[in-house]
Amino acid sequence: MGMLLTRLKLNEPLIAADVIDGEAVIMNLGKGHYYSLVDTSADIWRMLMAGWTGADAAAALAARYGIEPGIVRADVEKFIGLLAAEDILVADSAPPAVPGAFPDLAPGYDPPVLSTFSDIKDLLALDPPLPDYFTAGAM
Amino acid sequence: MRILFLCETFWPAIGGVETRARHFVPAMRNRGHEMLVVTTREAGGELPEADQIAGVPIRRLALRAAFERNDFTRIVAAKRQYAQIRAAFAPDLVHCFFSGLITLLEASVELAPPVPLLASFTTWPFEAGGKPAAIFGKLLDRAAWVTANSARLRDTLVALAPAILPRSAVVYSGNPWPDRDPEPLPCDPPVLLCIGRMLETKGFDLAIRALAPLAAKVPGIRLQIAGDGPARGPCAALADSLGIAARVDFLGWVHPDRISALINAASIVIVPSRWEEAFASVAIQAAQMARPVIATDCGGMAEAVVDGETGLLVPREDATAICRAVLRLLDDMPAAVAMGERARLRAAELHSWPAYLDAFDDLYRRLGKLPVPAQPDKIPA
Repeated sequence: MGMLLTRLKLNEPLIAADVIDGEAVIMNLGKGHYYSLVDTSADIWRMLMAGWTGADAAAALAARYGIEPGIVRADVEKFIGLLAAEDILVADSAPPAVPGAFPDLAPGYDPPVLSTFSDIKDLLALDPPLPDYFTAGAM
Repeated sequence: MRILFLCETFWPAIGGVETRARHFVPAMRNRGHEMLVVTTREAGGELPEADQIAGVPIRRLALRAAFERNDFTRIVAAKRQYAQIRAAFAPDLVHCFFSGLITLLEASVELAPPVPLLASFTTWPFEAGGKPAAIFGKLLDRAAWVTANSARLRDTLVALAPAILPRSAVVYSGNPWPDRDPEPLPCDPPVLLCIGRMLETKGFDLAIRALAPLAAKVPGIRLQIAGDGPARGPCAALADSLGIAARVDFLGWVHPDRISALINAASIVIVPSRWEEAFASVAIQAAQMARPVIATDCGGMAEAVVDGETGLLVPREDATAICRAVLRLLDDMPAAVAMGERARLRAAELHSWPAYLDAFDDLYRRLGKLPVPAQPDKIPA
């Protein structure tokens, strides 16, 4: 069962996250890793952040898309496992609150995927220095 | 057509891709396309956020600085800013000309309005550890069409993402033809030339190591290194420790408009890279000036330099092989001259600037009419 029945929260201050134009953007400030969630993944994220348990989110998605509940439940459990393994989410021990409203969902169901960009440092290393004749105003 | 042109770094940053983009963008505007360049801003922030080049607007986002500082708030702000810029411009096509962090703005999520994405690959899609970089996989996943600047790079991309096979092509890099004619190869004394960012991956230290035995055999031979970067200090120290500091000229950055003159004063151009060069622009520039090239056999370099015909290929990390190759060319200057001439002819055919522009102009027009796939083929993570 893992963390399916547990309410989860962001592992702050290590993790920062926001939802922009339907994409959940997450950053591990310790490792410098960047994560992106879209479509069903972003929907599950918003539900978890609104106080839903993984089990409740899976049940709601299964009903909404008419998919075998066991399949969605397994997908969500695996997805939460990935988020926990990356230290993105931790169990929330605060007293239960009323979960947020059922969000607008993506038009179709895709098994949730955590897109991880662990190569940010390599991409930064490609940064070329600005030639000194520009910075010195020699041009 | 309205083309949103994504370029990780852009003029006045210098590199093969940046220099090409500097000429490419105004040229495509002259072909009737409305261009908007979106690029990243350097950490120091000296360059303005809104700028223009030859009448083409440029927007610089502080994305690199935000990632360098792990500043999540600024990363989010840059993403929002990009979404606003994109929505206001309403492009017919997004062309990711030089991928990098900027790709995160476009490749993760379908922004409004949904338009085709053209992805041009000019760098090897791997991290330092040899694992495919996630960002490039994402780009391949979403691209309506993929171009690679060498067949070897395209094969590598197809191996990573077989689904792109029917929607990908090789477009060899083009360079504007230099405005000067080649001069005879200087041989008394000979001049060796390396050009590029002074990064460890570029292997300029190998050229210095190769020079040490050459200095004892070839009177007056010199090595010029044009460029700057973190490897400059270690390279200077290496030259000093080998007792050849007086034979090595560290020229610093040389303006791209002066590169052809610099090559004209060289006998041989060396590309000693130890990373996978997708297709070194310097090799094209050298060929245009009828210079033989000695290059490491890595990445797509075997397509840039035809071994024994337009230059010589040497194994990676092999300063001795570079030394031998230089001696081979210097010992038979007529053959070296002939290699340079063949390289120039090949460059005129394979790296024609008008043909390069034609290829992308055609892609712009064809892709702009394509319906956007509702469910792009997924690439396994």
